[in-house]
Amino acid sequence: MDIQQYIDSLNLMLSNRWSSLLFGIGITLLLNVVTISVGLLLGAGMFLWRYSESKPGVMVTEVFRVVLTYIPPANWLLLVFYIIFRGRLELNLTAALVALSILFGFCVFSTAYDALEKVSSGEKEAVISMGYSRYKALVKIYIPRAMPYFLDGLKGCVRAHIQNTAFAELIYVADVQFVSDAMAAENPNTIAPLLLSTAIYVLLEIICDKILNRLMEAYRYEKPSDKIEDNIKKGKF
Amino acid sequence: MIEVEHLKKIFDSTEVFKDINLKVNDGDVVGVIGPSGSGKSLLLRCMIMLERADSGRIYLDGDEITAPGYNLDSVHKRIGMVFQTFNLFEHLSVVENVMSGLVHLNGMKTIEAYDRAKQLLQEVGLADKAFMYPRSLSSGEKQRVAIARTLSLEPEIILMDEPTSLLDPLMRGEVESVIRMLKSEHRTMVITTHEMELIRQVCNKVVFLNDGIVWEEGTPGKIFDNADRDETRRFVKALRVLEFDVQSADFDFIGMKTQILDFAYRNGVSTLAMNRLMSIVEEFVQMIIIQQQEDNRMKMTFEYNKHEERIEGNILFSGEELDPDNPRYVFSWPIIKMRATEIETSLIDEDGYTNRVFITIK
Repeated sequence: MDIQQYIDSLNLMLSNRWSSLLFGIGITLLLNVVTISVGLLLGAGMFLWRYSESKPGVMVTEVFRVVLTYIPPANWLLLVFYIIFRGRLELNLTAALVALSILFGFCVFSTAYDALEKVSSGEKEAVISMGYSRYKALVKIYIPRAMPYFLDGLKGCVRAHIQNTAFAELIYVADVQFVSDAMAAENPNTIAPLLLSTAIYVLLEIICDKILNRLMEAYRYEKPSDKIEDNIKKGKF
Repeated sequence: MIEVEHLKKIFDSTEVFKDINLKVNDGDVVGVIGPSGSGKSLLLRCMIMLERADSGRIYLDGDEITAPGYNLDSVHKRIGMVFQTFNLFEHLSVVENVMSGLVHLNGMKTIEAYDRAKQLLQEVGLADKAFMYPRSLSSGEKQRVAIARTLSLEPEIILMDEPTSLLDPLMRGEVESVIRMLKSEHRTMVITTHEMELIRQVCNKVVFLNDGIVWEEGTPGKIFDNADRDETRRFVKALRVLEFDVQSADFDFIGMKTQILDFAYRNGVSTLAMNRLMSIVEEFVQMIIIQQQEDNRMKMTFEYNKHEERIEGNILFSGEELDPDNPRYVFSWPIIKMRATEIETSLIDEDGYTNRVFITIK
């Protein structure tokens, strides 16, 4: 392809495909916002279920852990679409929402559990010996202690998740042909939209990174002494 | 106040506790000593129910806390523990560490908990470090914060698991001062430690754990200066023991020499002392076993005191009465006398042995 073909593609996109572009951006945002929100709740729920040490909780979360660790995300998406939703095209958005929510939820659960492991066994023993109950220990000591590690891991989850939604969108818009055409460079009109969608995903990842960095700053250990004293005087502990 | 009865515990297929019995009364400061692996830390962990014994009972003011379903909250309210590794909450400042129990467990208001925490930090000499984080503290300071945090919950009994073992001598002094202060307040404490001097100074009772049982217990004076049992004496004096049991002339004498060399090397015995010991052992073997050519037996026990750089030996042997003027001993006995700093002989009738020679090598 030469420069002129790129320019023609861009012009074609700008003149004819605005509505589909906006639609695509809307789907991207919908997928990410909904699946991240649902995934966070799902992940938190799985974490609490596992933390309760109930037999079903341990078994179910362990099955999910094994399945979702080893199955590639793209295969997971297609399996959910074709097996649970029977490949019905009218349900492809729902399929994407379900599959991605579970995938993100699992990532949140794993990250939370890994973060909990960062709390040393000594601190856990101190907590027990002082008389904290399991759940009080979780809320008052473990979560604040593990939060920086959790947020750091969550950044990776979010990044991977946004990239996974790119593939999900292709299922939704039934546009796998679009990709193969672009790869074969047979249809030059695919290039501009492809570049634009890539830019949108990168921007989304950067925005999410920034939000999480802000949160990490808020949970940073070792606050200055005047801030500690100030918090105590305000009754914040 | 707290009573342990017939505690038994197997850990990784090793029987750590065979039958532990212990009583701690109000106001007691009990020092628990014993070799590594004897279960000192495990005993404290069982008392605070961080570990469950396989069998046996523990009573706290008459309540059996090891009973199934017993509410452990009350145990943790009444017993506090200070750990060897401090176990401070890394994400909280010093004052917040001390406040944590007061606010989260006792429901105290933040500002009241803060005042109380500052008071406790003052008692342990750390009021000026209130807003620092554990990472910035020395190990002695961390341990003092850990003690302040334990005290904040006002436990009736304080368990201290080797509170000074990870500290250098200067830091140790800081923490020992705090422990002495607690003793002066008549706190009930159980302390596991290798610091014999600390035990002498603060404890009114010493318990020596060995081979899965309470091997011996008593006042510090009795345990350290007048122990009933050899193992207790050897442990408190940090004696290293070398034993030979010669039953016949077929004994491996070459192996014996190797054992002496190995013992000396492992325990830092001086070359001079080692050579003297080797010489004395060879002469006794020559004198009693080889020369007499009778079916004699000999048992030699040597104890090396590293602090005093002294070897004390008990040599028991059978056969005729040791007579230094006997021509058979004309070469060996003078050599033995020359090598030993002190020597004492006596007649005995014990397990078939008829003679005892006590020697000292310095």
